[in-house]
Amino acid sequence: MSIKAFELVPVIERVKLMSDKAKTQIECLDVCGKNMYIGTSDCFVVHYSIDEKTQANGRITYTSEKQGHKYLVVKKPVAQLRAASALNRIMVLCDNTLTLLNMFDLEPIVTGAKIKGVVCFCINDNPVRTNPFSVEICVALKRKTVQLYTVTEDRMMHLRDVTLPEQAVAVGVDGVTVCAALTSQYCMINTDSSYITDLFPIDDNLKPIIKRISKEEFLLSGPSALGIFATSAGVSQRPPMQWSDGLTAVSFVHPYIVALNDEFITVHSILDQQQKQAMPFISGVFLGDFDGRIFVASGREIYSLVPIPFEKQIQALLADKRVQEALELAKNANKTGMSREKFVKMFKRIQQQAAFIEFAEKNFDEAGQHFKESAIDIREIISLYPHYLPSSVNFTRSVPPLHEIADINQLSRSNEETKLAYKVFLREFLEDIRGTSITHGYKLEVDVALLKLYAESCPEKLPELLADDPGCDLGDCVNWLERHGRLHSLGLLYQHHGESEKALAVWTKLMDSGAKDPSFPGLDFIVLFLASLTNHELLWKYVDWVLEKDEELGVKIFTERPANEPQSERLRPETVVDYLHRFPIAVITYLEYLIFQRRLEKEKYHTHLAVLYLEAVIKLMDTNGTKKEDLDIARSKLRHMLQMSNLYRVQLILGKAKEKEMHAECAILYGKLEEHDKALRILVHKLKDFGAAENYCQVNSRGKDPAACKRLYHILLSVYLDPTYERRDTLVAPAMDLLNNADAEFDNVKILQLLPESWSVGLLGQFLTRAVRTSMHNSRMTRIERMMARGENLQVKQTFIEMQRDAIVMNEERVCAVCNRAFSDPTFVRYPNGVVTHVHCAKNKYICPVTGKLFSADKR
Amino acid sequence: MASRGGPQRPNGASQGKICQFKLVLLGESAVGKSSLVLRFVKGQFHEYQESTIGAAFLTQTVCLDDTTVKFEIWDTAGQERYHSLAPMYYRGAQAAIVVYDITNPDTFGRAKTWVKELQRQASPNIVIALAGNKADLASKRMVEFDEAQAYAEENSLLFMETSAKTAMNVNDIFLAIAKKLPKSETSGTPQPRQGVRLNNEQGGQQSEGGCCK
Repeated sequence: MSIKAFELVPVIERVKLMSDKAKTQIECLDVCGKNMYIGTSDCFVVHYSIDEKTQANGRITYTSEKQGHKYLVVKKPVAQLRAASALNRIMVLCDNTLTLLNMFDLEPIVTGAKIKGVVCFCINDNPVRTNPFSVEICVALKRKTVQLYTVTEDRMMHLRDVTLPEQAVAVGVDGVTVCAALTSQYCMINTDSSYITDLFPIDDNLKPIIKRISKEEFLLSGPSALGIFATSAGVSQRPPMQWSDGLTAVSFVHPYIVALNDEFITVHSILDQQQKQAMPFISGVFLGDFDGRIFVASGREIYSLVPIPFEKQIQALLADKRVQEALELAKNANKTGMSREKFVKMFKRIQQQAAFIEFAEKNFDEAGQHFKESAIDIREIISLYPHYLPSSVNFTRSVPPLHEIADINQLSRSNEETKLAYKVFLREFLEDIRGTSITHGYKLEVDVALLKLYAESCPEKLPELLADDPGCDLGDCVNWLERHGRLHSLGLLYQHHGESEKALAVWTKLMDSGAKDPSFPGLDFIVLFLASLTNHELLWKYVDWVLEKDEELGVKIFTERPANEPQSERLRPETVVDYLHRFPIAVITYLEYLIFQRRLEKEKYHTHLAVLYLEAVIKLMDTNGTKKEDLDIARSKLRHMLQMSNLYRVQLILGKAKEKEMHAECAILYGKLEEHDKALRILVHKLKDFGAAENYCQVNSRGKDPAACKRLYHILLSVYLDPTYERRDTLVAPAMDLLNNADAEFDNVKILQLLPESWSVGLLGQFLTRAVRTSMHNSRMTRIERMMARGENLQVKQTFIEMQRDAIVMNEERVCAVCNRAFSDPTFVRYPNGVVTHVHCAKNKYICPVTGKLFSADKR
Repeated sequence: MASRGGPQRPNGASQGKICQFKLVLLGESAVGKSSLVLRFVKGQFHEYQESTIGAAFLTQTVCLDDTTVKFEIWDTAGQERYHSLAPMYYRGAQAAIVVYDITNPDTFGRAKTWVKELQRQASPNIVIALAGNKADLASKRMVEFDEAQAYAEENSLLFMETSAKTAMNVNDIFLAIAKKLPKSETSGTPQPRQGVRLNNEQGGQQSEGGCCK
């Protein structure tokens, strides 16, 4: 647990006291700037000037020169001595009397300011009053009282008393709070309210020590050699410290607490309350800190405890691999007056060093965290892995070096397992920081390293990396991927760099050679790639290769192109169709794509596709042993095409279809030619598919006016009833079905004319009933409609009249619009346009006499 | 150390309220105070826990509904010679756990004295919990559950039998304390309050403050 925080440097090796009597001993001292005052056991005050010099090697040495001395006559030891530079005075406690001396000539002050019966005193470093030319002190008296004074150049002004239950033997003061050690216990005294908070008892064999640590916080010596912290409120906010026995004095320079006993000077950290250093120091009598400098005195010598610079302490800790402590210390170093910027820089560097130590110790979690927090130059880490930096990057590690690691081979001593652990760390670390600000500017390095790591051990992650805009250059990545057989990824890398040709070369090679790369999705992938390839020249080079491997897949190159691709000469539909001639499946798929998806309305393609379908059907019909389902599928495809499209050359298809007696197709084609009679005849007579016939009527009447619709059904019925057809008996039933079909629409009068005379009413009963009812229904509906329209009209009229209604004020000033005379009787006439006249002036109530406007006389 | 680091943003807008409480453990030596804390803070248990010197300090944060409760735990030393230091640590504490050992009736007696002392000298509204530790040693039980329960009810203490070794009831007792502590903005430790005085002038009556209700 040790650390070297301080170094003992002699200040005055042998105090030249007045007499060389062996009994003369140092009792106390104070340092104020370059002045050092020493109080001795034989009542002398000695003044030295001391000079601190920093040697070339960084060591600090002191030179001292005696300035003067003063004998205080009372032959008692000087118990306490404090300089007050603002007043040019030193306060001396000797023989229980506190007096003032001149700081320079050590002469007593003639005004005779003094306090008698003093046990001890202390200066308030956090004074309540703010006069810079006065000093507040707290004095413990023999008579169970503490007093507060303001001391000026020549006077000591009494402020207030607090009476205590016992005599105080040690005091500390901060603001209005006095911390006092009474004979049996410590207590906190609020001098404003005189309220006393008991802290804890003092054992008989304990020397009470009170040291003010910071604002409102004191350090006290407690039972079992504990150092106990206490705030003004009497609460302990830090855990206690374990000291050694027999302490005589305590000092504090952040973050260290220095304690003196008979044999040792011990140093504890206030941060973790642990002991950090112990120096043998025999017979120490005094220890004190003065403006951040610590001095310690034995009977005759005086030393300074010179702090070792933080950096040195931290480096020493790091050298011992005590990372936690080093960081803790470094974090607190900014309290030592370093500029913020400098501190951050220093702290980062220490953190990085710490990180590399943890790294070397294989404490990867800690290492990663420190690396991240200190925003390490990522190349520092990658450079530890031989060959993982991109060959194009020229990197030299920082000077002075952050660590002494050569590379991971050295760290792992070529143990493969350890090496793997290091690589896993790097991989996880890079994945973690990828895209964060740490990697800013080092995308190339990070991604290349990741690529290499993945290629080695994690090939499944490669495509993801390569899909996500990697910063990898081609450089040695190509070699690396080839070496590890990640050909698919190599292709992806080429693709990312726009080298489609090389990428395709790699993939086709991968296909042809049959080499195994589990990440390679196969031909589909190449097809997809070609489908989105913008370089059409290159595309044509590979089309053959793909189509020969798989027509159906290959045609996707043309059918699955990105929607927003600009039209290009090389990919014009004509060119493609021409090219695809050799591949019958591909050409059909492509034409289907053109017609059904792109909705190209070119007669050529429609006819071509129709012909191709037809040929396929014919081929199937001609081969023996064709399965019926296959044929049905082919024919339904053809029929769908024929039905759907209106653009193909009907005659051409019709000719071939007739030849092959494909009646269903013929019917559709006739339909296209509007030759419904022929079409329906085929359906009824040849195919005897009455459902299809009715369906035909429905399909062909879609979107046409009811008359055309009626005409179609009428044609169908005439076909059924055609007297020239020899087997017309068989058609009576479908004819009746048609008549009774609710969907079919007929002109009933024409139907009655068409029906054969011989049919009985019974047979037609259903149809007739329906016809009559429909007719009745229509007539009634029409009537209702008319009456409702009339009602509506009435309502509108009423509204209109109401809107026109207007009050008319009749008075003397109102004159007739015709004769310009006043009204004498209460009757008058108002025209709808607002003209008001005498009754007798209104000749015609339909014509306005002023404007001549004609009001409708229309009465229904 | 105590005041450094950690989530002390007084009113982290996004994460609801943060309350900070000082909690002190008291009880006879070797009843398992440090073990309880170690189990609660680090989830560990040492069969041979060294005896605490003076006092130790640890922190642990627990989440309770929308409130983050940070415990500042003062684990005091049980040995008699340190007894006189206890007030330094329980002064200003909002919660205390008084621990005894169910296999040792003397420690239960000592616990009662601690409760009395707390009731007399600690903050008037301190939440006190009584923990009968070493519940895993039920075969050597000397203090009956009912007896301790009755005592706890009489003095309105929270009561649980715990085992730092098996972790039984350890988190529960701390959570029970967190639930019982007043979580209005006016309570809690005085120190992290300075930043949020926006509307404290209307007195301590907080309208369940904050936007995230």
